[in-house]
Amino acid sequence: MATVVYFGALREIAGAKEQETDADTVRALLKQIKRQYGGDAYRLAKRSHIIVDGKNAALTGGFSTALHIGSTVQLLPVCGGG
Amino acid sequence: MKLPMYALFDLSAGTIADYPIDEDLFRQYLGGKSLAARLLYDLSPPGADPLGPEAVVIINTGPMNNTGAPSSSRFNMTFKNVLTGGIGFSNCGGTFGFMLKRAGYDGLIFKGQSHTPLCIEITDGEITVRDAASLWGLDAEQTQQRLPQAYGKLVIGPAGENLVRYACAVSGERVAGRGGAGAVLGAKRIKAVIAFGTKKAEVHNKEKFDKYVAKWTKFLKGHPMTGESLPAYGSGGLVNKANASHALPTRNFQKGYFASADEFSGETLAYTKLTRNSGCISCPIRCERRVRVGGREVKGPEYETLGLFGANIENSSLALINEINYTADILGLDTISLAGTLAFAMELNERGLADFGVSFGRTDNLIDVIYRIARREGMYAELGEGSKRLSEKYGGAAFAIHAKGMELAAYEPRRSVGMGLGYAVSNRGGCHLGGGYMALLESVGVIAMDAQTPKGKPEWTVLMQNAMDAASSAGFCLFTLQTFVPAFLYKTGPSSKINAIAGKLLVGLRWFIGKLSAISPGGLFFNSKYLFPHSEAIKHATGLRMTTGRFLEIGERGFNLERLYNLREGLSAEDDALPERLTRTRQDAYSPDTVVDMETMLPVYYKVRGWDRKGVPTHKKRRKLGLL
Repeated sequence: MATVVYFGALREIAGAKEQETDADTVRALLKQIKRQYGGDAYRLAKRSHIIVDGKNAALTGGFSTALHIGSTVQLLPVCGGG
Repeated sequence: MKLPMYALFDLSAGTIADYPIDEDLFRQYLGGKSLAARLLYDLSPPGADPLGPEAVVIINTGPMNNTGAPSSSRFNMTFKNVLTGGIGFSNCGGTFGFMLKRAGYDGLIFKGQSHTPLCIEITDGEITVRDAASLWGLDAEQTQQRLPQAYGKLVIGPAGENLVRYACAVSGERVAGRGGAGAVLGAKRIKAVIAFGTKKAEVHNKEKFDKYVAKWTKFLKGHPMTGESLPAYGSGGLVNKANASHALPTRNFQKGYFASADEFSGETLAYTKLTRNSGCISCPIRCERRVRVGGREVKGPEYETLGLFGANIENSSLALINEINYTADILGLDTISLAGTLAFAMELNERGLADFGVSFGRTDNLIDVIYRIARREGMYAELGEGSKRLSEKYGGAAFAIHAKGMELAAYEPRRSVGMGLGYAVSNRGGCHLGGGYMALLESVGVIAMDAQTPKGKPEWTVLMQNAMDAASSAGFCLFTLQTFVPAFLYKTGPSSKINAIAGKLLVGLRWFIGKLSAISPGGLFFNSKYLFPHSEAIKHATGLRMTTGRFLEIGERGFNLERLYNLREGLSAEDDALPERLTRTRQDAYSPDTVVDMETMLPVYYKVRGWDRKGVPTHKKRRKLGLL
């Protein structure tokens, strides 16, 4: 099992900071979120920064990035600043 | 064409004179930091003491202030940097710039030094200099409460009066934070500058301007960054992403990850402390956070303050950060340099090099220490000198986290190496904004540019610096630049294939990006809402033949002139550097690329800039920019 950590509005929707997941890729995790919480949550998750074990999933295979036993996936809202 | 009118104050002689800006200067520099750099270069003698009577301080606006263009209420201060000895500039929101323009002046130039505290009042073109002895000693909030409510105000607190090197100037609850803007006013005994006026801005082509402003405002409101993210979480929304990327400075930049970061993140602030969000005049973004401190609603902290008074000193209390932010503001202290200096002092203590009574994780005495720094009491006076000077006395240069003498912002550059280059080459010292803010493309933004590769970073840094300087010179907030990242990339998501391709393209296009300066302005003869919407708005407001290329050239000219000022004041290529911790010590011992590779990036940066190997703008570059 991997652990998914929610931030921002996703945390509000999920009602939890962390959850266990048996998804084996980021894509499978997103589908799981869609089934569990609906389309809005799916869109929020897809548009999040997805960090798998401290690495930006965008640079490690995108939505195909593998999740392993003990992996931690962080879903963070895209923000700006300066 | 309406040309800017400045007022020149000689505080030693007690004279005031109008100082009109001619058309040539206006065309070349517009206003704000670029025009102020020209004035500082021309009006101040080389080698002047930044706190002496010969120093020149400029407070100015840009042509877009008071026009109603979106996010155009920013004003600028330019002066000799009290921390670095080079150029100092600081940009501030709020109402002062708007009111100064309405009062009939585009800028104020101060030279000389008063022996008594002054309040400068500008009311509809009339300038009055009043005694401010009764205000001296008051904090920034108390001072402003005693001044007429309707006026735009710029004041200093005790830190400015006591010449703390990183004292800021305060306008409402906004600050001109960096480089000692408050100290240079304090040295001149200027406690307050206030302005009120009823004059509306003259816009060259009102019909086209109004139409374009409406279109641009709609675009900003509809863009995911300026219409959703910044209003929802403010800049503090970056805390968790920076932390997840190991780019959140922790324990004086020893690490980039802090386990408790979420406790002071923008999301936590939004859900637990936010009373409402707010914004500057004419700004549709409304990024400002409002929070409660001591039962009163005040401005909340920005990302830099959250990161540096959170992870970097190992504090996880958001309530305390809110209190520190408020305290620093009313005392007139730049939170970035203050926090950086405190973190350095904590590490000095940890290593047994010096004990200022501060240590990582200890928070019970921080507010007291901050008050003592502002008052320069006892040993705390040394903390008011900044981390560079502390390291010269007590050692620890390798971990004194500054560039040119000014402390770094809250992006750990070993996880955003282009931001590291930017810190090193920023004209005012360790500043993310003066450095081109590559963190947006590398570590916290929606495009997945490889944060660790040095490839492409010099080229993009030059482009970003030029664009940011141009926007600032016109009077715009830099947040308006963040819409150049296309909205659809937010919808596809940062982890999508298309965003990954975009990230690779940023690196792949480096040759072309590096040539943009060479082909500007002629090669970029268009304006686009999707790239830099500012240029079209400037064109309609001023009547100048403004294009994207000319817009970027104004930024490039200003940046190069600031560089020439730095060189004249004794800075050199040796000062384009970072402390050894960031360039020699891997953040991750197993990842060789988690250092800032200055040896690779700096020569490329100089070449793209059109500078020689010693970082001096070449004759060809100076001729192109009219800087001979």
